[in-house]
Amino acid sequence: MGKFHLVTAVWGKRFLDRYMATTLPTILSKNNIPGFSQANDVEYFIYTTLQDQEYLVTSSLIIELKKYIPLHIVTNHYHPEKAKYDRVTSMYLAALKNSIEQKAGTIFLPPDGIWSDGTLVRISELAAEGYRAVLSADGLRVVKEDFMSLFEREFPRSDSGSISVSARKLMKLAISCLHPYEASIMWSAPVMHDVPFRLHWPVKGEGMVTRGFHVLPIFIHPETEVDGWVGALDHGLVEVAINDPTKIYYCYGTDEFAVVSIDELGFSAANYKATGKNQRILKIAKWAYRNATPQNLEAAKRPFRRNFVEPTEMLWNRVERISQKNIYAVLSCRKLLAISDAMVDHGANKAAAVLSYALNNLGITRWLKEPFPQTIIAPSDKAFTKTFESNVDMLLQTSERKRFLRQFFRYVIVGIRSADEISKDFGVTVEVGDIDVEDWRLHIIDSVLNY
Amino acid sequence: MVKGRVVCVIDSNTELDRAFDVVVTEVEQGLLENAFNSVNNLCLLYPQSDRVWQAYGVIASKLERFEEGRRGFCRAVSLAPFNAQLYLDLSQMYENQDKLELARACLKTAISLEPSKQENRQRYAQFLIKNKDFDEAKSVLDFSQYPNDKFRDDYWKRINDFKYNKNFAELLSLGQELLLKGVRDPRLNYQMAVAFQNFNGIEEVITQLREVVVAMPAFAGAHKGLADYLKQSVILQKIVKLPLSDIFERSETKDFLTQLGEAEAHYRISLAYDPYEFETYVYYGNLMRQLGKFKKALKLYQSAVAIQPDNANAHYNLASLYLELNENDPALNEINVTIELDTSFSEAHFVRAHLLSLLGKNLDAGTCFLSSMKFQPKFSTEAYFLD
Repeated sequence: MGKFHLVTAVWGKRFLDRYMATTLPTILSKNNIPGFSQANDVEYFIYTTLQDQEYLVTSSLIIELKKYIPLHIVTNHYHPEKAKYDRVTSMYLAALKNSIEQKAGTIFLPPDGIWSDGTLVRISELAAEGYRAVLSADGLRVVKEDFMSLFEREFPRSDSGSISVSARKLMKLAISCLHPYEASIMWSAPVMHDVPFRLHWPVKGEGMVTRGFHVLPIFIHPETEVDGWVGALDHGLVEVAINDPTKIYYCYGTDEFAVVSIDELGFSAANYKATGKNQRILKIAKWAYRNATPQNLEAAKRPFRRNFVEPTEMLWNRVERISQKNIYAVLSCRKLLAISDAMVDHGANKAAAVLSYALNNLGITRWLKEPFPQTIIAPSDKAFTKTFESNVDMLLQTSERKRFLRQFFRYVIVGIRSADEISKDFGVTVEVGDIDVEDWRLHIIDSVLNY
Repeated sequence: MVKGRVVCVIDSNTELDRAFDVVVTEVEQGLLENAFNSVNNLCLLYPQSDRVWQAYGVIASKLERFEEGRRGFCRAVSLAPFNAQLYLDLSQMYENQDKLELARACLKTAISLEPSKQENRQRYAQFLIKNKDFDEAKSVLDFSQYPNDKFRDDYWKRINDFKYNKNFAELLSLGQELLLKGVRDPRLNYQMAVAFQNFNGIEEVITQLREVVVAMPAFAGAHKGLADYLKQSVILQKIVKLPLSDIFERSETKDFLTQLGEAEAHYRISLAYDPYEFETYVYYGNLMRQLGKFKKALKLYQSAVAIQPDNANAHYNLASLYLELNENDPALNEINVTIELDTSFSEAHFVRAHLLSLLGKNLDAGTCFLSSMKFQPKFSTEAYFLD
């Protein structure tokens, strides 16, 4: 029998109403709280404001909830002086500390989610298998205005107020009411949001494959004390809470369970920008370079199937392969951006400019199929004589792309090579050598390579 | 000769400053040119003061500088859109300029804001009679329709308190209750639109603003706001359309052009009532560009730059449009100005890189691409982002 704390942070009438319409009725379905609480020691903690407490306790759904598990309404961790997202984070942190102290695992139930029936039972099975974190790339955002009326029609409430939702049906409905954010991060979309924390690939008639840098830790049982984390739950929590990666479980898709997140259409149109394929890879790489943690990068390698019918394996495997190729291109580009920054830091600004030009204009974003270790040699600024610069200008013309690439790849060596090896093999002087950029290596040399 | 009297009074009973007292004294002494120069300076110093702009309008009108008078009142209205007196002043300006449709809209707006004020109704009725619209005049003078002032004042105070305290949920709750009771007050609709913004309710914002522009046809800001949201709504809906067609066979197609046409009309109206608003030119220009009307977009962008020559977004839009039109030299000039004004404008470095690349300066282009990668993407509805 496992010990679990369910945690929700919610305040304000609008979100309370949403919680009552989505999260609460769906977690009251048979194979969520009722089934889950039979086999486990479960308590529910709702973090809210003093003002909202009354509204909560008089709700019939809350009364129904209390038939199954003890409920605690916590009102002393609401900090109105903080920004909205910081308020949520401080509530979650307080909840997590409490769970750690009581040796319980924490299941986060955001107030705007719809949970398919069986989600909580599945989480308890995974916890019983020894996993300390269950991560899901789910939480697909849908447009409230489009979704809710269809949802209420498709999934009627029982007499007790609970709503039982099957994962596939939920996913089909959710995809049909996709939020512009989710649509913009579809690989085929003509625009993209500035914050591409996950990506989708369509599977015609069956759903879509998702790879997320940020994946939601639905369940977490930290191995150590947690004093805080970077960003939202899905950004930095797992990194600080779990040391052993084998204890992290990445959900594989809708056939395990589904979670959908309700949102307004919003009006952040300025965040959506026209994006061609090449720029798409670069923009995601840039975002990942600046924002993703190592755990986020690991998460993006795992495909997540949002199928709403029985998956045709061949079809899904093909889309998953394509998505893997795309994500590896992103990860390779991310490394090149790190390399380019290192070049600038070590006096190779012009080489960095050439690399940047090639990434933006010559389509080298897709030259690496896998981001395996590489050694990059870059001529220092001193090596760029006037004659060489004009040669480079010529070589960077689109019509000279093939010639450029031949030259470019002379500066890229598969595997890791030391400064001494470079010096010996190429007959150059290494000005700054052995600069490790993650698992890649950079050497700055004092001349250009001879033809 | 001033054909009509501008009613507003410049009083110095504010902390605004002694400088304002100087203006009042100059007006009282009949030194109108001096007063105009003084108030002009005050406008530069206090561009966010509706009273200063109002004074500018009054003095300009006394000097029979009607276009400048119009500018003063337009600015004042944009800062204090629920001040009925300003619309009355503005209507006088328009009458003086024989812009009767605009004058009529201003009078109608003033009546919507102060429905029980008899003298305003009489003034509007006189205007209508003069222009031979007898039926409307009769309806305007129908005294049985006058609402209760105390009731209006009470709820308006509560609405403003909620807004001041950013208690938007309560504001909406009260607003919805009042609307259900049959209250018709465009100020209420406007504040509800503002509140809905805080809950990301774009369609609800549009619904409320539609009510506002009907009751306050001379409220340029509401026309602009409505146009902005109509445009944004289309952008957001279009984003979803294409990717979904990769998953589902979809037959339904939404008529985005109608909505964009409506947005265009509201931008046009907004500029008719306030031709001095920078943002309207930019957003209207962005819409025209989206619709492929590049010449119109260019004119609007140029007007925006003329109004705010230090605004990086305005220059960026112009540069990127020139680039789209293959006019590389003016594009390069404009993008250089953009980067001078905002060195961390990532997308501007990107456009500059493209331009340099087109000019064969590939290594320099690479340096610009590098700068572009260094900075965070810009978040602004004013800028028109290119790939």
